[in-house]
Amino acid sequence: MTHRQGHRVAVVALLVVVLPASACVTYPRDWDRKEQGSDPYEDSNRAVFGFNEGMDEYLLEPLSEGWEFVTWQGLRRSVDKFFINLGFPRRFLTNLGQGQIGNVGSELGRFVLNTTVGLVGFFDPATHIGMELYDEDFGQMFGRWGVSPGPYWVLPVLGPSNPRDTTGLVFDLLVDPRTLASLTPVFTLAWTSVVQNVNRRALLDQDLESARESALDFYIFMRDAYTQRRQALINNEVVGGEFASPGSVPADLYDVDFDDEPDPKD
Amino acid sequence: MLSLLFSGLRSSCASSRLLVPVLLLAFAPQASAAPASEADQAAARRAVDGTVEDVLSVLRNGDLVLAQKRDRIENIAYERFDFEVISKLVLARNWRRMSVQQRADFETEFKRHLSVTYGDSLDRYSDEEVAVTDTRPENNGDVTVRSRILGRGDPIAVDYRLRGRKGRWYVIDVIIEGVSLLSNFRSQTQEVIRAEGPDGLIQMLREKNDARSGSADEAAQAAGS
Repeated sequence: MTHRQGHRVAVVALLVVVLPASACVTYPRDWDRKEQGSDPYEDSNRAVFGFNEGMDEYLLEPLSEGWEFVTWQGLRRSVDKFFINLGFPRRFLTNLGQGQIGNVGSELGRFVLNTTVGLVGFFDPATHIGMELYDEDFGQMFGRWGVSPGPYWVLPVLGPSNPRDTTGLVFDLLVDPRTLASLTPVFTLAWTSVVQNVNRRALLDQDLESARESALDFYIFMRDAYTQRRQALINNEVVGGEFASPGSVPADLYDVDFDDEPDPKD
Repeated sequence: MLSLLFSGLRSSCASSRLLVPVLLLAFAPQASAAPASEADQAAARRAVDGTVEDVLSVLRNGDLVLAQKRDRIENIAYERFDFEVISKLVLARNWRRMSVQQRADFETEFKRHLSVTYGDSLDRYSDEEVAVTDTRPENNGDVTVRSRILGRGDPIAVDYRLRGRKGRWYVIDVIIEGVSLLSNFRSQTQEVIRAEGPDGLIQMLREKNDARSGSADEAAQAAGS
């Protein structure tokens, strides 16, 4: 996943509020005993999700259409690469924190090469010579360390997350060059994230559209995909040599003999 | 919510991901047993190989208009996916609570749903290559076949899970970058059944399919004329 920092949209101030809250949050008693994908905050999550969808419709989508009009595909890809390159300190530290020393070296090489030959990251010569991107973040690192995600929740503007990943996100932002190098980190992160996400939105417009159109319940679609995807990334099953196996699916997913199971309660 | 699409799917190249849905549509044949043997794995792999070839040759055929491509790929999919098993796995425990008629209706609409959804993205295909790379036996006799879609952006990992039935291998799940579509569909249908009941689910699928296949046909006609 190259785009972890994709959802570091503007509202850093929000995180200042969210982080302390996530540290002392009380989970509903049975959240961990429920099936995968259980969602104790579903009602408020759906409300926030609706808000985010509205933001996309009335703000992000129009902006990205305008951006698409004044740019071309190659430029948009380059802008995306530029922001990916900025994620270097995060990837460096979190690969290190998971003991993936080979990846750490590769990341270091990538950063040097792409920042210089690749013109501050707008081009990606490193990939062409076989230095792969190992996109890790603090949420994944915590997961690798055995920290459980906690209940699924949807953050305003930032989208699907959980206490573990939200905490990770704060660390991600703290080591972001934009935070480190700017005198006004909140402001800098805010406006650059808008550019980053408008650009990404333009690249993914059709995918998003078709996902929305096909989903029976887009909220559930996103919740399930997010949960599975994060777990697969933590297992490192996606990048590298492993199978892209589902990270977290019901134990009986492939079992057609559900006749001996008790009736669902509802 | 955008963040999943931003962060969740790995490719920075949107177009190369478009092939995923297209390839989601197809697969086939040979032996079957309890724990998958080497021969089973080879057979499952051949099924995936053959299907990928068939799909790509349809996509690359410049003589076909969009609607024809969609039809052909749909046919490949119907042959290579075990929709009966897929429907049952998607519905899981709800399956038992549904009548024979409801089950059949669901299967019909679900097939249409998949075909409409993935037919949509056909015209976005742009010369991606597919590499079938590896196989893995599963505990219950299934075989997972691993592939990668290579386009202009990052490669995309796509796994196909196949199950043998009557000497042939059929796809029962597609796992894209770690996300099982079967599991995703199950989550969604469970939610809809909880809220609307089985008939509500079937109705919802039918309405969606009617609306979308209508617009797809118009688009195809416009493109074809």
